[in-house]
Amino acid sequence: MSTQTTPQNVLTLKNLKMSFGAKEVLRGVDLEAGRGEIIGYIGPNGAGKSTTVKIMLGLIEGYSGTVEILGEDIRTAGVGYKRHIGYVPETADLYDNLTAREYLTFIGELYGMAFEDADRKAQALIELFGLKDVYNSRMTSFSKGMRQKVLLIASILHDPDILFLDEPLSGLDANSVMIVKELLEALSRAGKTIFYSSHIMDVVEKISHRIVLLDGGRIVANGTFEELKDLNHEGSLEAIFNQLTGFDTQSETAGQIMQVIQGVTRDD
Amino acid sequence: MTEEQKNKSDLPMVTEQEPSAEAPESPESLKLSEVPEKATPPQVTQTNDSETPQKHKKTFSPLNILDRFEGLFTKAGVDYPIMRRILALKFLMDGRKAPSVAGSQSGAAGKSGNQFLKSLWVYGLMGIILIPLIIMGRNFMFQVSAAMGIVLFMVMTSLISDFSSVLLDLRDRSIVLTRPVEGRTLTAAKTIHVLGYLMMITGALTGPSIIAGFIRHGAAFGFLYIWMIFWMDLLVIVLTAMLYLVVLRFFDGEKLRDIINYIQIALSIAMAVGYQFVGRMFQFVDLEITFQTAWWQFLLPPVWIGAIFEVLLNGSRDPVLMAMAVLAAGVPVLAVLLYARGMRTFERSLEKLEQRGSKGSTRLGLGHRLSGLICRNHEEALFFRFALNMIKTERDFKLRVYPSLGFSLIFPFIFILNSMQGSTWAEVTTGKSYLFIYFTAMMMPTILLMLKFSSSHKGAWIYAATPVRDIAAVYRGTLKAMMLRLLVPVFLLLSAVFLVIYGTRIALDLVVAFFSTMLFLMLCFRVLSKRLPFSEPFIAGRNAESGKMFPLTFGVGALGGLHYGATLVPYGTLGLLAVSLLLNVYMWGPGFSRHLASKIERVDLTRYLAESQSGKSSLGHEESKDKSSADGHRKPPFKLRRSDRLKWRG
Repeated sequence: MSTQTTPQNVLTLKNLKMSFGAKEVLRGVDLEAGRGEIIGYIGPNGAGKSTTVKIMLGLIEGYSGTVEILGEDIRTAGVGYKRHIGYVPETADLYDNLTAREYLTFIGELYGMAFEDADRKAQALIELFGLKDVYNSRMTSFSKGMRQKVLLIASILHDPDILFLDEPLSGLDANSVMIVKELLEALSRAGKTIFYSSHIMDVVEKISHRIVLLDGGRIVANGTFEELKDLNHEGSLEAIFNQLTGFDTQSETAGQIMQVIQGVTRDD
Repeated sequence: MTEEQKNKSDLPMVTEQEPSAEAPESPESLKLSEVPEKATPPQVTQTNDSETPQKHKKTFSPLNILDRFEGLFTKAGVDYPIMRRILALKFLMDGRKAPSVAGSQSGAAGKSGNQFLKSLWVYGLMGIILIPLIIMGRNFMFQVSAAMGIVLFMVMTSLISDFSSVLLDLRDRSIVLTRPVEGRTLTAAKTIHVLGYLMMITGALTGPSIIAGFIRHGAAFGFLYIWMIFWMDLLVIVLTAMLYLVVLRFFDGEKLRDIINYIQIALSIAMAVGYQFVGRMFQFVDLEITFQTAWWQFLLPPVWIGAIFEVLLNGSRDPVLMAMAVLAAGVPVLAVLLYARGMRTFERSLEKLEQRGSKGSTRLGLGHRLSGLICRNHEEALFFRFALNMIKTERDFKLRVYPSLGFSLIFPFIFILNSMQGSTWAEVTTGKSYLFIYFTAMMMPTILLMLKFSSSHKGAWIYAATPVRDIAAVYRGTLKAMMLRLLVPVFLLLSAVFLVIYGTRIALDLVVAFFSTMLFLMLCFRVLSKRLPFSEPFIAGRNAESGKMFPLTFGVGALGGLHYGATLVPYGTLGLLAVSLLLNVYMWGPGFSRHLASKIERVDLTRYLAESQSGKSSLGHEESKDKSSADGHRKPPFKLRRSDRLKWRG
């Protein structure tokens, strides 16, 4: 598919730093990802996850360090590299006064596909995701799960080499979740690199080949789940996450929350 | 690009220079949209959508006109097919923007379709005033400058208040720019999108005078007129966009949002003042209009255009006029070229608008403390505070409303200055020109129209899902918040200045004027449609209701006139105050609730609630009644299909 030779690393971040005003969001992130890897990209809110992804998508400039995607420095590469990227944004942004068909063909065409190809593929995918009946309906009427399916389809329609998925399972029912998990495995076997960002640790733990934990703009852990477990002597990714981000007061906090809820009476 | 061809015809109704012809067509679209929604199962009509491109391959399309300039766009580094695709989509969506939440009240049937097109006739009507200017003689320097001054003023106003949000839109970034699309391609698409609307507005506005010009002065005049109008539109957009670009580049983070709004206020003030200058250039001596040259005329684009007419059509060889004519021909082109270079950075700079701000202050603010004082019950105070916070932070709302704040601030002074001509300062300070403070009331209808919109309109489910008992409290609280946040500051500022100019003798008059304005607000509220505050998405351009604004402005004049009359009678002002107070008490109190009760059925809220609940189980496309989904979003009626629209367009 891509004309260039497949480089060793699909994606390389070198000493990536970014600050908004005085606030340092990324403080030197080094990361590499190879073909077929599923990387669980996790971290507490505000750790810099979406900033990293936005930089890789070329939405944010003014960073320091280098970002290489498919062997090209994105600073100088032009927008062509985005053809190889699929993206599911965390904020479910889509033009919802369009029909699923209009939206998906539009996105397909932005990726350089012909209208017919995009239409055919989108229709087939929509059917497979169980939305056949609403392909021609406006998305204003869609539930959260339906929108999420459309976003997922929009991200894979053009057969990308790299996928950035931000909470891709959000709103999906249990059956769809199974489909997507299987799909991620299949994509990985086909050599696609997947950046999987989520707060649901169980899923990340199960599907990721490698887990990268970001905290305060730095990578604080990078390895397979087994490696992290050995290093941190914790049984679950959730526990590792808590430990590495220095959080251990959950039961206290929950108790305090209960106190607050029950302590305040409504004033009418 | 073959897929390109397929989609060429999802055109909206943008025409290059013949937009006036569009206006009469809009009633058609109304008719189409009145087809009862129940009768149309989504699927059937929807399939037509996709067939449309093929069927109407050869239909005339404004985008086809654009195609002729493909080379220019390519030269500017724009990916033309992509830009065209984005544009086609944008116009398609504009035709669809229908009320989304709780919009099920009366008249919902006529609501779909491009609202904007329905508002064009207002501009056409206003355009009639240009006819006498154009046909009165062959003093083009005066006639054309004055006409273009008016046109430029109207277009610029519309741009900075109605279309700034299109230029500064952020959603496009995450959908389009994450795909292989250059920033400049998106910026170009946005610019052309706005240009399309501006051309329709100018088309409607200048249409009557263009025809008059052709008849009175011949084809050369007519074509030059059209040509110059086109370039002026371009210049206006480019200048505005470049101004935003400069602001985006030099400011950062949180402050940026406010600065953009202040820029708008400044821009509207500058425009109003600049417009005054056009009028000042000429002196009417013995019915003869003479033109005095001065350096500052070089700053006024309408004058350049007047000059180019004078030079080309009247054969003037005056060096000053010649220089201005060169400006008229050259500056827009130059500006566009410059803009084409800066386009790439525009989208990138928009990122700054997205950045999260710092923590924000923990103070609850004056409004919070006042809420108990101003509002009559707990529920009203609640919505008062809610609205106050919404108004304070809603960027799109401010983008549309702040320009009219600027006008409210400057117009009283402009009119005072105008009425001053030929009289001494002493005469002014003892006169009654302070009554021009009534101009602040002029912004009320605009703001009221905007209150129902919000970029976070989906949050409106709270009205239905929370135990709101008194719907009147929602509106009253919101209106009071609007007054406190927008009207009171402007009014206080003007009052302070006026008290300095006119002395304390006018204190009572100012109080009366304030209560009259409150009454006027009630009047506007009664006339305009009542949607739940912050419950609908913003639409590009004007609202179909702007037609009601015209008559409402006469209401302001009537109130001012009444006040003037009262000052002539002994104790008249006091009497007026008493009457005004009484009326206010009624209109804001029992009258308010009664009016609302007659206009808004309680059912709407409950129905809305029912919709958002039932939508959860359905796929959302079931049928007529439950066009909603789990997130409480009402499905716009499936009525106006692209194919339908194309049918009647021939």
